[in-house]
Amino acid sequence: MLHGTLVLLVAAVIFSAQSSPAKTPDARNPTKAWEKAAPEGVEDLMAIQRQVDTVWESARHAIVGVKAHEGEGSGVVVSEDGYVLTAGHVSGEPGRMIELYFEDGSSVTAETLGLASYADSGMAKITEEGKWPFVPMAKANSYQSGDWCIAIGNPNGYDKDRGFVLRLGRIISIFNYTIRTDCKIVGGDSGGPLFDMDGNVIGIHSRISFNKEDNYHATIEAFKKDWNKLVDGRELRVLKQHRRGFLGIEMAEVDNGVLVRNVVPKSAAEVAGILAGDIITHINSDKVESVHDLTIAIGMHKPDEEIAVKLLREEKVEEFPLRLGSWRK
Amino acid sequence: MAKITAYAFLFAALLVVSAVGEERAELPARMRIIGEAVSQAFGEPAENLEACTVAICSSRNDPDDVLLLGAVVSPDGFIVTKASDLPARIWVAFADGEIERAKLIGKDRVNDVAFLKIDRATAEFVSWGSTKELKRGHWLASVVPGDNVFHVGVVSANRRSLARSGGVLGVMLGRDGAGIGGIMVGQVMEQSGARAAGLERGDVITAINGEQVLTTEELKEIITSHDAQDIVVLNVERGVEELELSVELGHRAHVFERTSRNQLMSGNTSKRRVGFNEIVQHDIPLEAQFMGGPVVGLDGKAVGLNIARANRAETYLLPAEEVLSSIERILNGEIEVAEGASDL
Repeated sequence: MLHGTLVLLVAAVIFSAQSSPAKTPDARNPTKAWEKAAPEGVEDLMAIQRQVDTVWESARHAIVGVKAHEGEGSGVVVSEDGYVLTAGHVSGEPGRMIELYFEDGSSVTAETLGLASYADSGMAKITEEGKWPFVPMAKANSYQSGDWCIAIGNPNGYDKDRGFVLRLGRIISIFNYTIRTDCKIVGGDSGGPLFDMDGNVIGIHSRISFNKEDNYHATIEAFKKDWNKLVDGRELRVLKQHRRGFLGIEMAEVDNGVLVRNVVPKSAAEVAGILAGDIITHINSDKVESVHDLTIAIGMHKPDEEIAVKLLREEKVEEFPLRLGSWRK
Repeated sequence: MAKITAYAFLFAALLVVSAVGEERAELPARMRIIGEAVSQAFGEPAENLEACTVAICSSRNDPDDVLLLGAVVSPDGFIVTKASDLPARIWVAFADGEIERAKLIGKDRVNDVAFLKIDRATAEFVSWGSTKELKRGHWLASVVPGDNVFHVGVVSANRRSLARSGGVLGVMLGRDGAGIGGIMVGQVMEQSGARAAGLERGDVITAINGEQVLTTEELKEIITSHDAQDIVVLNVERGVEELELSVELGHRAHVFERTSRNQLMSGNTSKRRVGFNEIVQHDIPLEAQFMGGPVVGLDGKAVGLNIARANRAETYLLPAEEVLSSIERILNGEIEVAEGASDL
């Protein structure tokens, strides 16, 4: 119990029930087998099988094995000029050269770009000029629990005879820039793509537990949110709790940002003039759409660092520069 | 004002957010790929799969202690299974609860297939299909005795052969050469034949199968020319003692699996998972003890036999054509002699 205050604050947390509105126009009137709640017979399974084949054929040439400094992983090319999505723990430190292997065994060099530790997103760029085979990224929030998905990767390293390895499963849940599926992945898959049934990348393989249904993938939204920073080669690391700056507000999620419910007396937020009822929309230039977003944005800053909090007060945009406090106080 | 999907708390709790977030709209277990809903869709093609799948046990009294599965392949009681995990005494349990003693006809070492016979007619048996068209994404199903669902998955990778890797003693080797008169034993792996035979760290191996060895290379060359489950005889110096130890060689991936993170994350895997003429890799999650059973595709035909569980994401099936050529080799006598073939 090093941080007595912190423990108390956590203990004071109050939860209230949350709704999770279903947004499934397709599910009511499915036209495709994979949009049904479950396949109803052999015909549906056949249709899914054919669609998996279509996705595989459209994707196979854009998938890569990654030989990085720490070992082998996977990745996927998402633009003609050679931007590659992978896991942050595969690409590692920005600005290093790594080797990528295509299905046919040909290899190219790529430079590692940025990474974000909170989602395990990472990027690289093929250094050679060329027109590379690539796959599309899914539109934001275009998938949901229950959707069929296809995981492809390079488990245990590149193997030309075997080729890339495909697994089929469904999305079990989605939370905090993470998709959980029952597509069984294993070491070496890290960085490989998770596709929806239309062949769009919806996630990147990140981590597992001993449970075979605990397969976690960074969402495509995590990449899109930080795109410019990742391309600029920045390392976005969320600090350990006790090293983070302290803002000092009690929060609730609302449609257009994060509502300040209460302000901790003498905290950075109070000193800066933030009031209960304000709706925070940005920390510096980062858009804040959830409590998780705000936690991450603050968590990247140390005590005494200066940030700008942009918020809505009585529907007017205002900006509050402030110096973060410390958890220790 | 905006709708509040409220969970309110002070700034502390990233972890608490995670916990709360995960409860949102979780797909129920029955809808997942190994759940009842998908299994039901497979009902028609997999109709007689359970009746064609038998459980192999080492004792009549313990039919729930399943060591392997097998596939019934003819109406007169012939069964195929995975050879290397077979018990010495073979009992075969059917889905209807009957249990029979089986005779081992022979083993095909090439593909790790064993051919068994029971003294009983078998109404249901597998109908083999062609596997030439099998490719990524094709649905497959197997059964596990006692489970009320089919275990389904898809083909994952290119059909390929898996080269044999030779057996291993299961030790790390240290210094070698004329100076010490052989090869010094370092760490002895826990699940190894070397450990079982009593080999210890610091022992110096001076000869194998009567042949003197001075260097690690010489020793390795002889060992890898043997397969797992072969027995080699080592001459060993331990201080002033001279010992002769018989060591059963192990499977590399199995003996050294505790040094691999992927294997640690995978639970129970097959000891023999290399050395097959041809395999088709799929993603049905099956423990090693459920290898040996038949796998069917959407046309209801058996495409092969589950032959090895490699890790949490990879299972291998031996294609029907290879199973049939293994049976042919056994019937033609091109086989490993069924030593101590169990009498009925």
